[in-house]
Amino acid sequence: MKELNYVGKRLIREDVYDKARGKTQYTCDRKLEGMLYAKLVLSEKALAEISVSTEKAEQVPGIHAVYTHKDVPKKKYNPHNWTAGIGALEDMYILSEKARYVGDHLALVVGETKEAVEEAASLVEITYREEEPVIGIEAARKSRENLAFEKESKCGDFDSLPLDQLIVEETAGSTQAIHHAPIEPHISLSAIDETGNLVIWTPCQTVFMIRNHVCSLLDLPYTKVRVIKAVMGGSFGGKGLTVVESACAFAAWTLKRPVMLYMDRPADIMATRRRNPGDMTVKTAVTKDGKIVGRYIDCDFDGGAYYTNASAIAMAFSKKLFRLYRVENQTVRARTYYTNTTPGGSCRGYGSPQAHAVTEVNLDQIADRLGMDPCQLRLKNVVQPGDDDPTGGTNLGDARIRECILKGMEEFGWEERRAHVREKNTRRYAYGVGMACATHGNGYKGGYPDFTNVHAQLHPDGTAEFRIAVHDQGCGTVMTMQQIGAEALHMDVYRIRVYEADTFQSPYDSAGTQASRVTFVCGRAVQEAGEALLEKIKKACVSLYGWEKDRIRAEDGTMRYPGADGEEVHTYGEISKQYEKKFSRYLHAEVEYEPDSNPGVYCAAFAEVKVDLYTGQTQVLDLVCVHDVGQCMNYTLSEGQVEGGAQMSLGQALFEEIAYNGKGDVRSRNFSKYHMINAPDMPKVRSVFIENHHSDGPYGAKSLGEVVAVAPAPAVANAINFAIGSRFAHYPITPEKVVAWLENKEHTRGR
Amino acid sequence: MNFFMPRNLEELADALKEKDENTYLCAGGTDLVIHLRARKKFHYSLIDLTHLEELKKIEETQNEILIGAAVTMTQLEKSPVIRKYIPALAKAASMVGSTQIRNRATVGGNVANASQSSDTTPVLLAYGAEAVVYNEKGSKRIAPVDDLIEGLEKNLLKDREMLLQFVVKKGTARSGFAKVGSRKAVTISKINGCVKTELIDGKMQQATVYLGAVGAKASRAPLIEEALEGESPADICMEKLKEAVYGQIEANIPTRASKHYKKSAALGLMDDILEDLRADAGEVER
Repeated sequence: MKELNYVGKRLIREDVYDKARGKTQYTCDRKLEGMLYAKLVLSEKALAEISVSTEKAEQVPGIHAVYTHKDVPKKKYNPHNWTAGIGALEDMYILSEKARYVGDHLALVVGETKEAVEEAASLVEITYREEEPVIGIEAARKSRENLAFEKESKCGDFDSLPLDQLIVEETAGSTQAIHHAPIEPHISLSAIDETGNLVIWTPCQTVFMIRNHVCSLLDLPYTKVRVIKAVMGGSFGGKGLTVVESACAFAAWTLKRPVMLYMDRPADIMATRRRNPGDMTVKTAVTKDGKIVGRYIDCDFDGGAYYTNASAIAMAFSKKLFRLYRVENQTVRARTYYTNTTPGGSCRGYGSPQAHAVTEVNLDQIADRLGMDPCQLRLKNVVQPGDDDPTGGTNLGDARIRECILKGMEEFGWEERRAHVREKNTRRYAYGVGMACATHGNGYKGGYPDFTNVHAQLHPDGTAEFRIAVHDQGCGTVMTMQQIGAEALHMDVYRIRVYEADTFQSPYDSAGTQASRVTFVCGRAVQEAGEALLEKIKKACVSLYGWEKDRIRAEDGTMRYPGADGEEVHTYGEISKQYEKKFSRYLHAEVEYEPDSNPGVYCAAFAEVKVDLYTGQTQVLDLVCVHDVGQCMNYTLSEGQVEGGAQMSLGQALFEEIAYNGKGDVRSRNFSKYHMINAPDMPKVRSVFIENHHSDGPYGAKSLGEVVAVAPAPAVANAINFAIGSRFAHYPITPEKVVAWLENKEHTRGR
Repeated sequence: MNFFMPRNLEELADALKEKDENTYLCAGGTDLVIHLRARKKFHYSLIDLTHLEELKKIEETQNEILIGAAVTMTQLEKSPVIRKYIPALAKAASMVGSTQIRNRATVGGNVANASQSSDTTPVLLAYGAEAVVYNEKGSKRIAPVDDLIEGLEKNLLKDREMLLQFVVKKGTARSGFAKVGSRKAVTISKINGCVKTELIDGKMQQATVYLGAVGAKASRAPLIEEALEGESPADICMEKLKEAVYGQIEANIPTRASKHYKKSAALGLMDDILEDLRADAGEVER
C-alpha cells in the first residue's frame, strides 16, 4: 500500500483552540438584531386531554406571543423522515393537541428576554383531564393496540432444530432509556434574510431533513428555506431528528422576527429523543464443542409516544444480529410499542448497543456451561472476511473480528488475567475480567438511498475548498475531510477548507451525518473529488507548460516536472491564476458518489472490574478496545472516539437511565439524578486498531464513531458476572442490583 | 426586587430588617439558584453574604475553633486547623460536589439548606458544634446546630435570623468521614457518616457516630457507637459491626424500600470511616 502523508496523522483540528478557550460562538452565544427568545411549555402529565389558557402568560411584559396547538399548521410530520421519500407514519404536530408524554410540546412562549419567557412559560395554565397512561414495555405488551411495528428476520430454520440434542442457553435481559447528554442542549435560531428567505441555524445532523420538515409544515418551497448547520456542542444522535427547529421556524416566520428557541437540561432529557429501551430474550443452541447452530431472539422496544423511529430501531437492531457470528439458523423477532414516554430516536450505535448487550452475556453463559474460554467460543463462531449477510444484506467485506479478538487477548493479557484475577479478591472486593464483541455498519447502502455530492475548487491563492453537506458533531469530521482532501491533492491540510452543510451552499447529500456513513461514504466522495481536481491541475500544467502528464509529480501544493534544465516547479496558486487568465476556466471538480458496498466494522472489548461487595459499586479498572477500522483517519481523533464511546457504553453498563415512575413522570430530570460516568470513575482506555486498508472507504477506511459505543457495556457485564458469579443482563447494573443479588445469594446459601 | 450587599454586621442587620418572604440569603448560591429555578421564582430580593469578612474566616482560640458561615468547602478542606482538630470536616468538605462547587459552596449554606444528604452536617453534629445566630436587631444567640435543623430542606431559624459562625470545642478526638453516592466523586450522598472518637492505645473510646441520608436529617447511631466502643479500628470484627449497622439502618428507615441497599452500603461506609481512623491509629503508634 502507498504511503500516506496526511491521512492517519495526528493533525490538530483548527477549531480546538477556540473551543478550549471558550471563544467558540455556539448558537446560544449569538444575538441578532431584534431577536426574540422562545421556550416550549412541556406537558407534566403522561396522557391527558388538555385545555390551555395563555392569558396570564401573555400579560408578562415583553411577551410577543404564546402559541398553542390551535395556532400551528394543522399538519403532521414525522421528525425521523430524513427525506420526503422515507415515508414512516406522520403523527406529530409542531405543538400537540393532547398530552401524550411528560415533556410533550404543548405551547410555545416567545418574548424579548429569557427572563420574560421563563416567567411567562411558568404562567401558561394547562388543565389536564388525565387518562391511564401506558408506561414501560410490560404495560405496552398488554394490548396489541400499542404495537407500532413488528418484523421477523430469519435465515435457515431455527424451529426445526433438534434442540433436545443440543445445548440450549436462554438469557433474558433489557437495556434502559438513555439520554444522549450533549453538553449543548437543543437549540435553534431562525430569521428572515434580506431577500425574504427563512434561514435556520441549528446544530443538527441533517440540514436537508430540517428543510424537508419545515417546508412541509409551513408550506414553503425548498428554495426559500435555508438551513445552516451551526457549531455543535455534541449530539450522539440526539440532534439526529428534528426537535426544536420546526417550532422555532414557525415562530420566526409568523412574527417576522429572529427567534432563538432554547432548551435547558430537564427539557433535553424529557422532551427530545432517547435511546429506545429494549426488553429481550436470547435463546442459543450450540454443539458440545461450542459451534452455534441456531439462535432465537425476541425483542420488544419501547418506542415512546410518537412513531418516530419505531420501524427503524427494530430493523437496525435485527440486522446486526446476522453480521457478527455465523449462525445458520436464526430468527429475530422485533416489535416496537407505543408508550406514554419520550419518543425514541437515533442514538449512537442505533440498535447495536441493544443487540449486543444481552446476546454477548448469553454467549458467556454458554461458555461457562461448556467450560470453554469465552474468547475461544467466539473465535469458533465469528464471521470471516468476505462472508455474505445470510438475510441478503450487503456483504460483510473485510471483516476482521477474529483479529480483533486475538489482538485484544494479547494486549489485555487475557488468559493470564482470566485465570488469576480472582486471586486479588479481598473480604470487601471481588475482581473479574470479561470481554464482548460488536459490529456496526457503514451507511445506508442496502437499506436507503445513500449517495452524496462534492464540489471542489482550487483558488489562485493556493487554497482549496470542498463543498459537501457534512455536519461536524464535535468529533472532527471536518478535519477528517481536510486530511482526505490533502491526501488526494497533495497539499497542506490547513490550506483546505471544508464548508459544513448549508442547504443554499452545499450540493445535495441523501442521508446526512448519521448511520456511520460520513467517513466511509462522504470521505470517499471527497477523495474522488480531490483526485479529479488533481487530474485537472495536471492537465492545466500540460496546457500551460507543455509538460508530459505522466511525468508530473504533485507534492506539498506544487507540481514538479523534470525539465531539461533541472526540476521545474509551479505552485497550485500560480497554476490556478495562469490557467484562468489564459484559458478562461477555473479549476474545479464535481463528483456524485454512491458507494458500492456497506461492510461491517468490528470491535472486541476487554474489561477488568472491581466490585465492592458492601456498596455494590463497580469500578472499571482497565479497558482495552480493539477496532477493525480499515485505516485510521487521525489517531488522536480515533482515540477520542474510542474513549468517548467507552464513556457512553460504560454509562449504559453501570449508571445511566431515564427513570419514570408508574405515572410516567420523569424522575431523572437533571444530572443530579441522571448519572453518567465521570472523570474520576473513568478508566484509562487502551485503543488498538486493526488497519487492513481494505475497504471501499477513503484510503481503505471504515466507520468508527458508533461501533465504539457498543462492546464495553457487555464486556463489563461479563466481567461483573465472572467476578461474583451473577448472571446480570438487565442494564444498568446498579449498586442496588448488585447488593440485592449478593444478599439474595447469602440468604439462599444460609438456608 | 432588591439586592443587598452588606459589608459589616451593622449593614447586615439593616438588610435583615428589610427581609421578607421573597428575600433570600445568598452565599455560594449552589443550592439557592437551583431552588429558585425549580420553584420558578422570578421576582425576589437577595442579601449577598460574600462581602462580610467575619463570615469568611476560620479562627483558632485557646479552646475553640470558630468557622465563619460563609467559609467555603475548599477553605475547610485546605485549612490546617480544620485538618488538625476536625479531620472529618475537612474530608466531608473535600467530597462535596465538584471543584467548582466546592469553591463556592459554604458550610453555612450546607447546614441551613438542611438537606438530608448534607455532608458537613453529620460531622458538625458529631462534634456537638454550636452556631452563632444573628438577627435583624443585630443581636446574637448561641444554639446547638442540632436545634437549628429540621431536615428535608427545612431549618429552624426564624424569618430574619441567619447563621454567622460555628463553634467547635477543641479536643484530642480523632474522626473519620465517608459517603456513598452513585459514583466516586461529584455525587450526592445516598448515605454518609462521621465517627468521632478518642483513640486510646489504639482502641476507640467515647465514639460518637452520626449517619446522614437515613432520615430527615443526620442523626446519632447509638447501635453503631456501642459496637465500636473499646474496639480497635484495625481489627474490629466485621460480622459484629454488620449486625449493629444493619440494626441501625432498620431502626432509622424501617419502611423505606432503600433500606435493603443502605444496610449493605452503610457497612461499606463504616469500613471506609474506620480506614481513616486506622491511619490515625497507625500515626499514634508511630
